[in-house]
Amino acid sequence: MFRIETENIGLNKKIILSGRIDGITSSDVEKAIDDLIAQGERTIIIDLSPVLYISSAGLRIFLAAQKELRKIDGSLIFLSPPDSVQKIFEISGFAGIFTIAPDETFLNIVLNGNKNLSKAEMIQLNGLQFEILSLNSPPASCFSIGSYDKQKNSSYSLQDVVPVPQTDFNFALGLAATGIEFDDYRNYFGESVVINNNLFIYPAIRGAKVDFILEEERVKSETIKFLNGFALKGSFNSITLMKEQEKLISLKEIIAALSLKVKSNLFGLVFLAVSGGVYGMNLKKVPVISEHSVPDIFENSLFHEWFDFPVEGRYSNHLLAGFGLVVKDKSLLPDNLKKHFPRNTSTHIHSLIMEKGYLSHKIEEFNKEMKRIFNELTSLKVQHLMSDSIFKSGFFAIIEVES
Amino acid sequence: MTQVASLQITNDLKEIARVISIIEECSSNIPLSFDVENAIELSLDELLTNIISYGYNDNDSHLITVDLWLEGEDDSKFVIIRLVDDGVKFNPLEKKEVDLDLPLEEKQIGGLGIHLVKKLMDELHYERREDKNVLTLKKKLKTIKES
Repeated sequence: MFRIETENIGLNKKIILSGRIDGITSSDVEKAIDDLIAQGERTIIIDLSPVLYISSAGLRIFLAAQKELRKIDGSLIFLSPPDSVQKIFEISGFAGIFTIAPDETFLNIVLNGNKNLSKAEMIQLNGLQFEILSLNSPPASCFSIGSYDKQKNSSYSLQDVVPVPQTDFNFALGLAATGIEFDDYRNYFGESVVINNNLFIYPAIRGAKVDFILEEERVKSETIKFLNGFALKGSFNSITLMKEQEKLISLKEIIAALSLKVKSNLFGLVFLAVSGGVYGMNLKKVPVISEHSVPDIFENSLFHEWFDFPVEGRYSNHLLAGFGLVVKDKSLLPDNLKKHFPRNTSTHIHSLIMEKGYLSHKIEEFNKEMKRIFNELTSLKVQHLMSDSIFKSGFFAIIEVES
Repeated sequence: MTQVASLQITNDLKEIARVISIIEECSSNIPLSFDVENAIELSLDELLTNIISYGYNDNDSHLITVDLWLEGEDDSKFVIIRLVDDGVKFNPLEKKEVDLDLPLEEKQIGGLGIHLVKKLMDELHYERREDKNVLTLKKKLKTIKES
């Protein structure tokens, strides 16, 4: 439903709009902006991230407000419009008359000018050099989906499927498929990862291609069918950038270094990086129940029939995009989350392996760069990523999880 | 051709919400991508708001008909929307284009609605038939994999 909230952001005011901005609700938006102008506000931030829809009635309000504000040396700044709203802004010619900040990082730069560029600082952690940008975000919530128990015997069936609405989270990983009827998708489950609302699934069948649904192509009413995994709803607490180092660095070393800057025990890691050698694995067959009973797919005799798990690193210089959870002290974790870290692991990460490519080295362009890469590059696989994998350079973003 | 929805509303702005909720329901059944659904919703919202706000010279109650159907095969599927009203003659295609490049001070506040419809839809067709405005909109469907 439609909602308006006003809050402080530094020295400025922010109006957060949720729901639909149309002929019915636009007069409320108009009043909220007029009230702030009357109170003496000049730079007003309009947070559009929870907006589902905007019609010309809403555009007119913004245009009129901007005209008023310009006369008194003020302006409206839009924050995080979703793709659907961004598209309407573009075809209305708004891009030229309004400042549109795609995220909080950019907003900080707009509000604080060059002063803020130095907000990204250089730090040395465990001998590794990072550029780091700290952002104010509340801790994220994390939830488990389904169960891993039936993977071993390949005995998942319809009753194990957990349909999760695409709008309930923005990051996730697990064994998943898309479709309506179980009989239609039962043979297409595979390693999957959701990064910033973009879904990628690598069906566990011979000759599979990565299936994907990018943010703007999501169908509101459709759910993703998970057998197991976890999901996060939240935003970045920090973004770090590691440029090419003198030696090759493993993901394990990067995580150990970044953990020093993270306050929570459990955190989400999102990355966009250039590979120096991927150690990863993916299922080759879908572990749903069939007439043949399966003793244990992890056992030596069956492992290679079920998993693609080469011993040497592959995909050097390919781009990787991934999401996963990292835990610092497993003993402090609640039982319902422990299962995501079997045996002696402390990471559970899925990575998208894409074509070879180049990455921007501008830390404030992380989100933009991710969007560009998802739109332009072909994805080859989604794999469960081992922390021995080698990274040459990349962005690593942290999402702290509430305990 | 597959009929998806056919409904009549009265010339009351509150009726638009009803149209939108019916469209939302239909698009989850087809299903339509978020992009296409949004384009259809927005176009209907803009056009119906125009008809209801400016289309009538009297205070009587009038009926507006909204039809929505699908045409075409696999690779070239279209959603067709037809709006019929008995209001004053109004051909949105004859409306002057909004100049997007004007500086803010000279920018017109109105006219954006029709502009959005023209940009979001693939084809628009207008005719005046038996004292009625008949506006037909066409939108190509994208398959999920196309991007």
